[in-house]
Amino acid sequence: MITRSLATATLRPMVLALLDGRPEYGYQIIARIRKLSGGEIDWTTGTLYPFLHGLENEGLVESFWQAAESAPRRKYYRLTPAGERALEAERTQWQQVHAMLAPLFAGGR
Amino acid sequence: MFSLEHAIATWRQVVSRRKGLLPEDVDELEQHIRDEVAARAARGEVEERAYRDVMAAMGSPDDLEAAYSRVYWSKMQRKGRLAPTLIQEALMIGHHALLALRNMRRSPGYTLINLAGLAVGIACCLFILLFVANEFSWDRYNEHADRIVRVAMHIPARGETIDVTPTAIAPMAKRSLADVENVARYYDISRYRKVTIRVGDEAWQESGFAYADSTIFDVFTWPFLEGNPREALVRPRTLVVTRSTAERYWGTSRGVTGRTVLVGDREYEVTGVIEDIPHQSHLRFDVLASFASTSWASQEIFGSANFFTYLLLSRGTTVEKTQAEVDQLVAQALEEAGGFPIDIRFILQPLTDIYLVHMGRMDQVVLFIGLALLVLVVAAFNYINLGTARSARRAREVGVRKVLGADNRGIARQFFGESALMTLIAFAAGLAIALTSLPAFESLAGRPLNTALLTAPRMLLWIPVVLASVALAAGFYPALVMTRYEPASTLKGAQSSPGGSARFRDVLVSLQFAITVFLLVSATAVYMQMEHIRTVDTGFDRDQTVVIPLADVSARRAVPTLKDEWMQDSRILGASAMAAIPGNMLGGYGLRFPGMSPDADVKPIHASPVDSDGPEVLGLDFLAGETFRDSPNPLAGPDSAAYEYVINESLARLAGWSPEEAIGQRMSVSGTTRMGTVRGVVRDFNFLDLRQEIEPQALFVEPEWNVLLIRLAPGAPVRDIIGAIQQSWTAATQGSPWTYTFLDDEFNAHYDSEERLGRIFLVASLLAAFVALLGLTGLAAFAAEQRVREIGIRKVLGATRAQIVLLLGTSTMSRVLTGSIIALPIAAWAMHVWLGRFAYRIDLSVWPFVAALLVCLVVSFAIVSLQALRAAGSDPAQTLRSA
Repeated sequence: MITRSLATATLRPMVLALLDGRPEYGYQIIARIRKLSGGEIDWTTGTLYPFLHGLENEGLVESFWQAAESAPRRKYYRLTPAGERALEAERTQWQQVHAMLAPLFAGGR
Repeated sequence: MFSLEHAIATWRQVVSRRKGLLPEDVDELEQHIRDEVAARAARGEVEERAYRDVMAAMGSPDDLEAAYSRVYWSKMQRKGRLAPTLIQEALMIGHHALLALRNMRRSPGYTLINLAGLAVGIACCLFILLFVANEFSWDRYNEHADRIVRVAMHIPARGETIDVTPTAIAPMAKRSLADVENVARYYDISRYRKVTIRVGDEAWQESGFAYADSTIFDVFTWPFLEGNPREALVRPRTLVVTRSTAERYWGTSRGVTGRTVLVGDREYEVTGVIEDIPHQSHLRFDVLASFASTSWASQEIFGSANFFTYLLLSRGTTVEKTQAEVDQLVAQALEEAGGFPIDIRFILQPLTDIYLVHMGRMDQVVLFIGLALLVLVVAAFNYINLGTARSARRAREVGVRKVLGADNRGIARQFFGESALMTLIAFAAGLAIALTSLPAFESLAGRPLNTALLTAPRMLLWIPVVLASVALAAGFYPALVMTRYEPASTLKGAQSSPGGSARFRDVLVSLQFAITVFLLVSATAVYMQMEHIRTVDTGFDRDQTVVIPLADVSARRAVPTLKDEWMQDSRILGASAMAAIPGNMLGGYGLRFPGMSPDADVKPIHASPVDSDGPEVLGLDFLAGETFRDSPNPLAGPDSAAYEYVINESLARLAGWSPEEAIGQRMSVSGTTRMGTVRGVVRDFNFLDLRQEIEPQALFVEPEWNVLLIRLAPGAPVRDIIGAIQQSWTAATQGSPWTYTFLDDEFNAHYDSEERLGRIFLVASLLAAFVALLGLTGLAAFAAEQRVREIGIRKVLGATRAQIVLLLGTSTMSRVLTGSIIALPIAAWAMHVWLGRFAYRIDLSVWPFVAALLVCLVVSFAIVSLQALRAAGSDPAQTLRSA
């Protein structure tokens, strides 16, 4: 089980990473996080959507409505250039954390 | 049977009401629900179950709204979606306004009372805004207003500050202080006497004549219509006139430079015409002559302070800094001059403080604001009272709205909306009242008001602020009461309003009457004091006495001829020329006796030159001795030792003489000169105004004549005599300008500001009383209406009308009484303080208090009874059936 505080901390890099290269809509994002985490992380609607709007306020993502031929109209989110830069920054940070933790956890000092 | 469509529609309805979510957000969430339910159904979950799980994961509408509203504002701003929300708000306000209008139409009586009260209150507020704006605009018409200071002379020994200075300050400051950009002196001769100006065959007595340095136009902003400001007042015998003076003299303000006029008997050249000085200016003149024309121009001394001195400070310096420099400069100069007899200090007064602070107008401004706020408070209380009193009637409406889902915010908004609408209508009415009664208000304030100031940008900001605060203040309590209602109880038919609001109403009514009684008492006391001053025994006769100013030499020369001529007229009791009339005999002298050492302390006394008929014409009351001999040499001159004195009782007491002992004593009022003999002692008379105690004073004969007093026989036809006097005046003075006043008017003119105060209090108290009684009418009508059933039952059981009136009247009357009792001590204290300013004052008797109390009680009882009688007159058969 991933603790709530850690989950909260990872929400931002996860969403940015999920949106990298392809627009997605809210349900897709929740479903993919659930799947990727093996059900360990399950964001509620009431958390994710406001969070997306927050990112939108920051100018990291932008939204657009789109209806496919056979699908209903959905609101998609995609990264803006600023969002891509933010993702890059997140990636560097997390890799640093990972690089530091990996040897520690491996027991090798 | 579960229907997803139905469930989603219901959900949409619920969340759509939430302000925190935009319709677009709801669309997005709806699609999410559909996707997730579909996904779960695909995994084989039952649709209903899937839906419940999805909804559980979503959280309650409250949580959802809270989460969204965290990001809501900045989002709306970014996307410019504030406008649609505002439109929605506006629609809601429109809806509330419609409701409010319906409510108003349903009870026109209450609406009218409310509107009238609020309109009066708002009109008062508008006047105050206008008045205050005007008072604060004094002298600010000057471009450099914030850099101009006036130099005043402070004498620590006497604890007084006088606004005039000696000649030396200005040239010294200009020479030595880098922070002083320019200086100008201004000598207002009209302070002492009128000046005769002859233009062709016409002669004018100018009371707005002053001398000023040529630099005055660099300091003050007085635009020229003609002439060059740099040169206008440089040469001696040049002068500048204002536009309306030029029009008065020549019928035009164009092409008059280069013409000449006679000032006294000297020819002056007109070198410029300027715009009239704005009313809001502490310096006012019609004619401004060059300072170079006077003998003081070349003087640079510290004695003889007669001149206003103005400094224009450089940009970037401060008054404090310059003050320090001035102090240093003066100390140095005085030391070089070998010291100065008394300790003096020169104080810089910022131009914009002169009117409000140094001329003491701040008191009046504060008073005006206070009075207007009191009236506004009384009006606002009416609104609150009538609003809550009728809340019972509206409890049902509110109950129904609550049941239908309105929250407290909505209800509150409705009541604020109502008070806003009411305030808006009242504002329109108040504005109309204010505009139509502006002339009356101007005469009340005693000055013309610049209405343009009301539309100045800063004012336009203030008006909505005032309106909003009135609306909020008036709507607050009703809104509070209404939102507190439990719909269940109001709908079940509970009629009475909560006890708290009834008690609150009582307090407000009491306060209203406290304010009213306070104002009524004050108005009565001020009026009585003014009457007292008008009729007080001042020790001299001021009835039937004509005062003619002696403004030029030819007029002064004609005095003996005129007096001889008037002696023949039986309608004229006597005439006398003197330096000043009682009320204005300001001259300060020092009392000396023969043989006193030159170093001995001279006792300061007042003295005033008259001609030998002075005491008789003034009707002074001799306690011992007699008046001046008929013809002591009127041109004796200060070096003569043959002076005669008529002294007052206080002077005799100061010298240690009884009135009888005083006769024949030798004394002088000016050191070694003017030595003379006391011929008579008169009962103290008010040679200064009535705010001041009578001090020691001596009259002596000297031809320093500024006014001519003519005492008419009692009952003589004033108009005829004045016609005759004018004829002989014009003949004897060879056309000196003719004007006259009456001694009693001149004396009473000292109390203009007090008279105005009395009128202001009267108007304010009448307005407050009007508004309070208006409110009382509403409340009485309400009480009668509410108890109509009880009245019916009592009537059926045999109660008389009087009993019913008493029943309804008692409680209201007790409020009025409570309020009055609160007000009386406060009013007594306030009037005691105010009367303390007068040396001659009424003893504050109980009568003003009793009168104000009685008026309030009687009028309010009449109002309450009238409403009670109406209720008592209703047919019980009707009221009992229909209620």
